[in-house]
Amino acid sequence: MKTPDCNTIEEWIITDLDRGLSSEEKTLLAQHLDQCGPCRETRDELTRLLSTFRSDVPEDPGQVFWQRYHSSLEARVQERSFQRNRFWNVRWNYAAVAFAAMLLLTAALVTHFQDSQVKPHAMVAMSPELMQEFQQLYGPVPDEGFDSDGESMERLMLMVEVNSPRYADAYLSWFEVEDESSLPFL
Amino acid sequence: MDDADLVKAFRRGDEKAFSALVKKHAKPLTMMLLRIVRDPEEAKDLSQTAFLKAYEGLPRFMSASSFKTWLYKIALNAARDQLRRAKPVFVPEAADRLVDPAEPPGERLDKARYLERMRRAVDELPEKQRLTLQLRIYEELDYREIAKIVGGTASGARANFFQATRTLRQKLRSLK
Repeated sequence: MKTPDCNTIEEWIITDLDRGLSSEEKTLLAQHLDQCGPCRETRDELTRLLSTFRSDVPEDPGQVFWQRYHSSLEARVQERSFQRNRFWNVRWNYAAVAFAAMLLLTAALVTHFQDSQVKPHAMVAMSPELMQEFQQLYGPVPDEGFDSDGESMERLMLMVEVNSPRYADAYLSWFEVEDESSLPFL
Repeated sequence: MDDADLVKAFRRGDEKAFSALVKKHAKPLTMMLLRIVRDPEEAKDLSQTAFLKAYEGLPRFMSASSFKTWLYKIALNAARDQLRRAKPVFVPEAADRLVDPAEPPGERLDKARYLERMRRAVDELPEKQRLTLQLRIYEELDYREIAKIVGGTASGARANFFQATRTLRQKLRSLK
């Protein structure tokens, strides 16, 4: 390794005081310092500077200070913890209120749309012509008529289902007509 | 338990783990801040503020650096803000405490004057150089950790340390 010259010796000395020189570098530095007065002076100045800096530590404030430190920090942490919990609780409360409001709004909207829909039994009740046509197709309507309650509607639906011609019947009827038409005229 | 274990425990909801972290780091952190601001009450306040910020930030702490490095960074940021508002007051009587009373009066005076000049020279250093010097000498942190706290790279932190030492030597040269 190359021996350091006077221009770079300060960096070597600082590195040495900073515990950064290898043993080989330390030997080379020591060799240079043995021969060079100004560099020894630089080393003495830097040694004094760093040792003074290292020794300049403030006095420990004492046991009472540390007791006060820990008790007041604990109080501050607890206060912060309380605030944080309250913050989350408030947020959950807001979330619950918002959820309930959404539920209510949804229920109100559903009710509104259900009411606004056209109901079959209402149409039947309002239109005598339609009622007549209905009776021709599906049979007589009961004397008590159709109320808007669910039970009457169920009976109406059942009646339509039972009395209405099925597609299969219509299909068979068509073939019967076809067959009859192919018979020789009597 | 080391810091990483305590941090994990705290994140699982163990509040005692945070108390353990405080017990371990409160004194070194406050003493470090005391060297910077030179007022015990102010150092206490800054140190507690750093712990409170750590308490709030720990759930989001990514462990990219050690807890100590992260805590010191928080504390030094708080101290920087404080120092920008008010420069530390030099306390001359503190120099007397560090001088050995058994030494001859001439030497004691010389040492006290040197210490006083050194403190003033340190105060005049650029912020990064001053903090790097303090973290390197007092906290014995490596340059990588210093870079994480002060900002920049490890080689930059080393350069700051060298520059600070050179500057101080130049300024104190006239005093033998």
